[in-house]
Amino acid sequence: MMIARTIIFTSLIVLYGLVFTIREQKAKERDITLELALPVSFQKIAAGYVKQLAAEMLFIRTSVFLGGVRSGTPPTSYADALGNNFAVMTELYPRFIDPYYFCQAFLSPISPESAAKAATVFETGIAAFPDDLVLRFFYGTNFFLSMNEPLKGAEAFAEAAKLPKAPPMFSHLAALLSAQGGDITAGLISLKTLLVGEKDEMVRTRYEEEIAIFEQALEVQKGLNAYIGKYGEAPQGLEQLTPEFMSQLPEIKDSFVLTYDPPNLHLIRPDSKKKRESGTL
Amino acid sequence: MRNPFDSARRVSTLARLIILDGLRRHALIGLVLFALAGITGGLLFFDFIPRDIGRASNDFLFSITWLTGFIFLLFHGVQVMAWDSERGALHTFMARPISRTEYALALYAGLALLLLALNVILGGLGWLVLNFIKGSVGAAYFQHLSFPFYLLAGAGLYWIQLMLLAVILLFSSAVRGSFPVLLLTLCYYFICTGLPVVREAFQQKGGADADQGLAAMLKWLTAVFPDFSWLDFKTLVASSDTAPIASQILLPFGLSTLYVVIVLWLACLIYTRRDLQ
Repeated sequence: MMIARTIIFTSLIVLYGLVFTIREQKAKERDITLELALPVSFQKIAAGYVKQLAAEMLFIRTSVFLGGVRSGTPPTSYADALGNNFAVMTELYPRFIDPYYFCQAFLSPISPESAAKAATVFETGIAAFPDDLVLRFFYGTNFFLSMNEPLKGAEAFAEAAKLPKAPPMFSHLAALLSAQGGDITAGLISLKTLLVGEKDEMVRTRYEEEIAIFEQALEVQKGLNAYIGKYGEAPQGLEQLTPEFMSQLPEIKDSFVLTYDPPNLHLIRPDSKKKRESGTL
Repeated sequence: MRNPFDSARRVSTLARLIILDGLRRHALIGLVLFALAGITGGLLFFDFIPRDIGRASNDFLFSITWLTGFIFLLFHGVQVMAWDSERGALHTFMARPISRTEYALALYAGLALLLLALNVILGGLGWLVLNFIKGSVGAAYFQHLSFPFYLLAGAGLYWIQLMLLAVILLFSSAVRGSFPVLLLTLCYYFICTGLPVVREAFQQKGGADADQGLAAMLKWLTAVFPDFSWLDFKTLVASSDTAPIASQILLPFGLSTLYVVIVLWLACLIYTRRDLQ
């Protein structure tokens, strides 16, 4: 009887070990998934005093997922969960800085929809850290790099440029993005403001060159407006402006390209144009 | 008319017994070891925090202290205060020349002192751990560590625990059995943490057109189920956040002290009128 019990018990242990090994094997093959975090209201109630830790744990869980996601997994398959989790952790603890960096690196590039979600996450961060220049940079670049919304990017950079320690780059980007988005006048005003405050001769020269280009583009814009005023509709191509509204179209230098997307006129940097042509912008 | 000094002596004697009883049950050392194990295990995960290491470490340490205190309140505090298996001890105490009010206050004082000892030990260890972490990482990852705010955060946490302890005494005076008291305390805690969220959601959805009657009801419910986040100062310890003004500190502490006094008063009133059988 004793021997039989020993045999049964040993067999049970062996069986357990076997089943455990099979399950572990299956676990290796199983796709890692990112679970959708529960809504922020629920987390606030459940976590109470430890809500900050709950946000940090959610961040760790998400970053572990991002570190272990199989190569070849389409990011769109986890974009919704990623966006939701970043939103939850930042709403739960807006002053925890790490999620914003990860959001910029992993959520923004997935798709314009994910970038839109990232924009709301950055807005939470900017509300918590209004003077943080890195967050402002993330917010502005997200608009034009991932969402193809240069005018919103220009607006974000123009707002950021008002901060006491903002680098001149913000105003410059606001000017360039305004022109890229079709608001050449706003871009020109920003550039002229930058020129007034700049002391470095090299930078001044660059600004002056850009102002000259912007003014040329603005002349074309005026011609366009006059055409629309007379005929009630935008021309099919810019060449229709000559000679009635302009003697000839200006020759824009290599650093910018004038593109016409009826009825809007854009002044785009060549690299941005390339991206647009390849469909990534 | 009882002599107040004699009364205070009896309260302190019984409180000392409660403390000794707590030490005998390893409530203090057990929880300190539990917290230490939590800190050791948890800090391993902080390799995953690339930037805000100071903030995350500080939050983690205060969360462990909070969790340890919560376990103390729910599993030791409730057991000591509730009228069930400890009824024998209760009757023994009552057989002594001690009033029920003195008994209730002594229970509260004894447990509050034990809780204070627990917080001081864990707070001291936490401060050492934070300094160790600050010394082991680059300055950019742990820029701020303020001792005055650390003390303030610790005091805020202790005041929250004192409020919960007072409520446990109130429930224990009114309800028999440790399990119902535990459930009631949990319900009370979740209502306290949930109510501010409900109010926030209500204000966001309703805006200016919100039902004023309901808004007023929610506001006064918060007086009964207080918002503990007013006493949560832990985020100030490891950050450059603006220091709170005096009223932001004094008001929550003053309000919660009044709350504790009122709840203790109610608990004593119920104790004096309860049938012990």
